[in-house]
Amino acid sequence: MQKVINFLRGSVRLEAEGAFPERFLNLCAQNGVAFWAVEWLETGRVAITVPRRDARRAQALGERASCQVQRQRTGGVPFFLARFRKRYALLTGLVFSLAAVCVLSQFVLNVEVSGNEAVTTAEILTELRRLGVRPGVYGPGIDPAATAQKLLLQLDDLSWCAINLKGTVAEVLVRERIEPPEVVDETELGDVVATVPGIVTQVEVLGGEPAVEEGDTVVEGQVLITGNIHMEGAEYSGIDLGWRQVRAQGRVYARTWRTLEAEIPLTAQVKVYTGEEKSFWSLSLLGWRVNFYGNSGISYERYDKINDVWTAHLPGGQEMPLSLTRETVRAYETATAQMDAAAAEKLLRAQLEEDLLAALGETGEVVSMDFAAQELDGMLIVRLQAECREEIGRFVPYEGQQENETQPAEEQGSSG
Amino acid sequence: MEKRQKREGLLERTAQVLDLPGDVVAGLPRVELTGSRELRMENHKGILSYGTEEIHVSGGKLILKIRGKGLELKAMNASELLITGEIEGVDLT
Repeated sequence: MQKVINFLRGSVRLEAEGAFPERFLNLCAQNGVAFWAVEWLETGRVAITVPRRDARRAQALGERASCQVQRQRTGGVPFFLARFRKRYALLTGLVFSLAAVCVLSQFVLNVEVSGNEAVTTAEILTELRRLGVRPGVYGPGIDPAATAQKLLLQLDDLSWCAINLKGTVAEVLVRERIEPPEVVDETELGDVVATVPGIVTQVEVLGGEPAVEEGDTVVEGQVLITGNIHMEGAEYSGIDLGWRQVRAQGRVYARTWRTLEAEIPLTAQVKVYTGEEKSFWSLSLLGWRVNFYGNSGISYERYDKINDVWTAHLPGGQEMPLSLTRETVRAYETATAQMDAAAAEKLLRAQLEEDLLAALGETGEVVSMDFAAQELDGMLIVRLQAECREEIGRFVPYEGQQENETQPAEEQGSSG
Repeated sequence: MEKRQKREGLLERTAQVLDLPGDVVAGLPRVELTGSRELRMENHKGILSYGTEEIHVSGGKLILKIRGKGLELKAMNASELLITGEIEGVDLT
């Protein structure tokens, strides 16, 4: 540890020569000049090492002891740094480096967005760029609160936003707006009708009266839950209170059978690369793009464009606003090729299955599927027949809707 | 000078009579030998001669002669010093 301290504070090796060099040592000790590594060279000569700050004092004490004190060598950090005192280019470079660190740290190098799910990061970054927050902008010139407010005004789907400047990173925290729940308009009256034909398996009525029962076969458009309710009077009273119109609500599940069809030609145009290709390089720094290819154009009739982007990263994984882009243009020609029927059928099956699931929605489920394929006029046709279980009810309002009021039974006969 | 020596002698005797540490009361030199490689001395009065085989240290009324091989004054300040090397003998004169 002491060696490290001596190295950091620097030391000087002195050689004292005189009649009584011991006196020199005693004077150093009495005057608080620390020394070590005492070496007796020969009669009348002694070498010691003293700290850098005590070297001059030790030399003065040597004169008092009638000794000639000479510096032999120096060592340690201060002497090492002193070597660079006259290397002006190095010092200038150091000053520039420090200035660059001080100045560049004032600029935003990265904009990080967090807290968003539905609103894309690209959308937020684009809007921030319009508001002046982008890589390369002068950090203190940004008004975080005002920019956040403007961002909220521009993006309706955001409910809260905060911009924090942390060094070279502009951290953008957002919270998205929570969609208000769908409000059912109770004043809108109507029936629940079947969207597809099927056999009813379950009826859940929340409003209105069920028009079908479990096991009933229904066709498309048939009323499942009616909004016309017959109000009967007390038993044996003989009074008919009439009809009342309400909004029919509920869920009706049914076994349904769906048939979907898809086709694909058995020949297709495929790309055949000619082998010709060109690469265009560009450098992007702080949002500025520098092209290295000048104005050279693309002479190919048909081509694919492939972009490879290499972005500079800090050791912590943080992305820097410096990227190198290679745009490769690859020429191709089209040629007719025969498709693999098995692969085409597999593709169509997957597509039909996807379409079926999309048609059923979240409430439906597939009970069984049956595929049939045939080739006709150079086309492959795949047909899917599926048995499903799904919710088939759909609210349909009455035409020429009336106020929600009790009406006599005679007048109600024609409605619904 | 004579008066000072008398005072020191008095202090030394007082320390002896009262069974007090002489190095604290009278400022007598205290020598500590660790094995045969290290000698530590407190309350010294300076080095009289220095060499790799013999070092003479003043202890006030007495002189300490350290004999050995490869002797080296490792560190020294106004009151303490440390000598290392192969110490073969210590004489008081």
